[in-house]
Amino acid sequence: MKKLNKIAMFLLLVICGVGFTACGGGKDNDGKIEIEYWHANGAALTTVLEEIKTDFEAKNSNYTVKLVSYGDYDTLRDTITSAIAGGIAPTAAQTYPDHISLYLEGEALQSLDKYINDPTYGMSAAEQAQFIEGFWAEGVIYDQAGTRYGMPFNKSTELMYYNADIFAKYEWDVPQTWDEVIEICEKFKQTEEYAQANTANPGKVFGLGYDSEANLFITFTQQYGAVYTSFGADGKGVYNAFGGVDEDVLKSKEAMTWYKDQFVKGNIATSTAFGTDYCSDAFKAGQCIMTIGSSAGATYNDGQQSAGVKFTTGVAAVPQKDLENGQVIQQGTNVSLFKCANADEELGGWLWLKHMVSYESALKWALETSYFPIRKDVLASEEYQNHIKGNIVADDGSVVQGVQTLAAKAKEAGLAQSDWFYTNVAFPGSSKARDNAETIVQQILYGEGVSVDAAYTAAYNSIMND
Amino acid sequence: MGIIILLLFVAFVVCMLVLKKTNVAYENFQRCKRGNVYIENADELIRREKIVKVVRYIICYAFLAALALFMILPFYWMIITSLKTEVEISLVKPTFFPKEFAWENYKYILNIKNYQIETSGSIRFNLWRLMYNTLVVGFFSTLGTLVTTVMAAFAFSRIKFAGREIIFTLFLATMMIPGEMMVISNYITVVKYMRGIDTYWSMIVPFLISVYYIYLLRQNFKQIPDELYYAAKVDGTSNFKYLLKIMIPIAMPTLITITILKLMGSWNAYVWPTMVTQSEDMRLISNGLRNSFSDSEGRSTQGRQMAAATAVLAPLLIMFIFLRRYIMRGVSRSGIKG
Amino acid sequence: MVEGKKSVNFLRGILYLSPALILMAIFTFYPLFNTFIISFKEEYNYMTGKYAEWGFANYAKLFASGNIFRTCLVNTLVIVFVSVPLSIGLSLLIAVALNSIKPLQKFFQTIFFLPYVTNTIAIGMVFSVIFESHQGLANAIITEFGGNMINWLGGNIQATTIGKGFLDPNNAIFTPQWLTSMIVLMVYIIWNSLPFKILILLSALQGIDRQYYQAAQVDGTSKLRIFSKITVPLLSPQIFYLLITSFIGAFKEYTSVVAIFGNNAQSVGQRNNMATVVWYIYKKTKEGGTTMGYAAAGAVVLFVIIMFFTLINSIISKKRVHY
Repeated sequence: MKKLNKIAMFLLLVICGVGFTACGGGKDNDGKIEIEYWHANGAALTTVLEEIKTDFEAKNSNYTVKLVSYGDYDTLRDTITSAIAGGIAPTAAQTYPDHISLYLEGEALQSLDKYINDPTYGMSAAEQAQFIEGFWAEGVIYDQAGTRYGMPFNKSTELMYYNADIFAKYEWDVPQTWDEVIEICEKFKQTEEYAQANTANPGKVFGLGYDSEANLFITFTQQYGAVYTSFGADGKGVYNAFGGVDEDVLKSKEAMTWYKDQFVKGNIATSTAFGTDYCSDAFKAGQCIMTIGSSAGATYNDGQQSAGVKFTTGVAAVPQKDLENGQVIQQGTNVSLFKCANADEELGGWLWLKHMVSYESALKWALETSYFPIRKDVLASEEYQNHIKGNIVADDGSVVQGVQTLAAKAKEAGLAQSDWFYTNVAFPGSSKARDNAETIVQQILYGEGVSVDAAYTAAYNSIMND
Repeated sequence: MGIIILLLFVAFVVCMLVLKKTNVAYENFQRCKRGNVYIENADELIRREKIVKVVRYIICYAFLAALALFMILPFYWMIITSLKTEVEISLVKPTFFPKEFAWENYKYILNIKNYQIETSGSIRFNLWRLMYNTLVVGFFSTLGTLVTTVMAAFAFSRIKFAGREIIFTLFLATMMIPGEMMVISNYITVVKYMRGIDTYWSMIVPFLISVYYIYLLRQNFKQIPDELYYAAKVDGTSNFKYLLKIMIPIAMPTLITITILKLMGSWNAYVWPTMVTQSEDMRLISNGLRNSFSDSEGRSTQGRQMAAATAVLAPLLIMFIFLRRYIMRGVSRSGIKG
Repeated sequence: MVEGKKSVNFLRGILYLSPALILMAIFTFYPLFNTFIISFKEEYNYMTGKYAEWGFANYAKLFASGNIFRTCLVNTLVIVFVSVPLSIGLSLLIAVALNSIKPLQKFFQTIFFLPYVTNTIAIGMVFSVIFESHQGLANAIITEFGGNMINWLGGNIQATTIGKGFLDPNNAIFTPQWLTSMIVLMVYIIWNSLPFKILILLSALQGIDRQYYQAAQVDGTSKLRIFSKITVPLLSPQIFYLLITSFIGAFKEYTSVVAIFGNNAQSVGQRNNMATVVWYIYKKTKEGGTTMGYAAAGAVVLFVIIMFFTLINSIISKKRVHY
């Protein structure tokens, strides 16, 4: 069999000539070293990336960066895994935590620790401290030793959007805890707005809608003090909340039981219950007065865009079970470095990543996209503060007070909860956890007589046996 | 809802008109018949027969019209969605006709500027370049497929040699394995061993072969009577010339069908072309359109998606309407002589 | 048939086949051969090429109790044995109806071919509009006539399901929700496969010699008898051809499932209840570095099953098909 393989290979080699490189980049015509950076951004974000690249090449004259977009994250991941198998991985790439653990299975990623502590090329402790902790922590969740495989790049979080007009009319305070949310929901049921919405869409009106069912599961599990996933003593992944550790399962079940109770009472739901793709659609249609969704999607929750009654949208932090121990998801991608045969190229890749997360680049990215600043110094900077307040800086340097956009409000509110960001470990197969989190929530809320216990048992069985 | 009822009504009226026309012809025919043959109670019999016939026609047209409505719905939906605003699309209750026509979806899709990334003044990404690439890849992969298909079908249908049936069975068996299993292997073959990144051939060569088309054409070739071959042999025609001058012209409808189906395929190809190209200059139209499918915040914009789908479909549809006769004939040939 | 010496003809045949053979060898046979090999490697990591040992562990995993692969097999068989006969029967009816009318025939022909060129995203969207569990078109029509909303794709707790009385909601596979969602899937699959079938049957019908029908009419044979004794036997080669190709197609059903039920192949509130074999294969090629072996084993199992049914088909057809 080996022989046949060899013959096939030989034929191919004869046809096309031989060539092996470990990493995608290499020397280009001018004797400069080429760094390949693979990402999944569309045209609009690529334009911003291009500016960052031009800036990098001006500062590092012996490197060129080749930006390659694969359009969507799944194609990016599949191309990279195929490229790893073919020994032609890029120098650096945009990565989700699940992707990182997959590439690690392919033994293709370079630990950033190798460079981060380098006296010449590394990052000082002060510089590292500039990153927002929750984002920065996601780089070290891939083994027990805490080896760094990623640095944050485009990041977002979840927020609560609410119908500010209704809140103002009835003089309700914006809820900070889930108990307060339920109080508002009960009050909402007595209002004429509720009655009207319920006539239009009978049985499909709730106080609050949670957009992402998977995020709901993870966030509630965290808020109830349970561990979602972890590393076991043998270094392998453990699915704590699904059945791996009894104590965590109990807490997670308690959280889901509570959510189901409130769902049955008609207080809170997920997008499925409204019959819409996203909760934002139901929110704008008046089917709920609060919704939890991505901070990057603020404009979708703009009540001024409603096809029915137009209203002002307010933004607040995600409600908590315990304000002393806040837990909010942080999501988005990191940037990672691949192992290269050519040491110069690998170093160049590191320098490029370091440039991408530097103050200048991060500021540019935060100003020109809907993503969050990843650094505290960007956040504190005058430019950024003016940006989120909607202020306009005139040519002579004077600042004109402006109107804050909803997107800017969302950025501001999101940053206010940045101390609450949590991260979960990633390991081979941990992508199954997220799929199952979503299915559990759907089964508990919408399943045909599926009990909470049965949903968890089925999920754990699926994770372990399929 | 309203539009559906309207469509049903129109279909009904058309059916009735058609029925009336056929009825008149039928009555004329019966009148002639009555002149020649005398049957007792003829009027009653003919009347009954007529009623049966009319009822049959009504059922027939109603059946076809109802199914046609169902068949056309997705097509209709694609076009109206492309003309809706995003606000209207996201309504909880879907609307069956745009409240106001949103031409901006088409303006966006057809605006070249939206496909450009400007780097220090130079433009790197351009709609016409995408079109050109798609045409090059489509043209050569279709041409190549025709060559391999004709030659293989000729061998399978006209040349008797040892192992022919085994090879043919092997070819057919490959249809039974899902293509997902082959992508990684082929990526390594093309990219690593053949250095195929950013080349036209890497998007063409792996798709120059299709067992399905070989099967189709083989059935077609098999129907050509052997007498034609012997006649040609008497005239001293070589095998290759016989294939070129006699077989190919006879199988022309099938070849045109293959051409159209293949062009459609390369027009819609997405995953493989994305994987083997890195430079924006080498990408195909499907990649470019994909960029306009989601806005800067990452959520998909269905209006634009559908406008893009319609724009991509328009040339195919025009081709289909003009070549319908050939396609229908060509596709149907494959079924003859299982 | 081309005449000539055996050896000359062999060379000639291979020569004509060579472009196809070379391309197939590189882009089809080689990957397939790989798939077969991988299916016997335990914990095969496709990125590094490492594996634990040779053996049947991948196959054992597929058929172990509690594995989703069983559901996949059952669903796939249901799809094959329900959708294929139904779609062939329906397209036969349509083709006969189309053949019996004169005016508007071309117009209807064109309409029935439209799905062939329609974008798949658009088709998926329309199906979610029609069968949306709350206010979809199907439910709007049902409630208009005073019926209960039906929970087509799951997720509507107020709606009812088809088969609620006679199916056990706690069954491992055949729950009422399964039946309800399966109906939607069937409609989609049949709808998708109609254009090609209608086309083939219609043109075959048009090719039937009028003499057969005239003879029957003289004898005063009823329409139904004409259909079953003349039309169907004369169409048997086409019907057989469609049977084989749609069997293979239905066994490989996957895109339709993902288009309607998402990447997890489930109606809302259920777990992977719409999963098919190719869905499993696809899922396992993406899931992790070492799950490729399961996908490969699944592909081999599928291959064997399709082979088996294709063979049976051929044996039956030798007796039944009129040429």
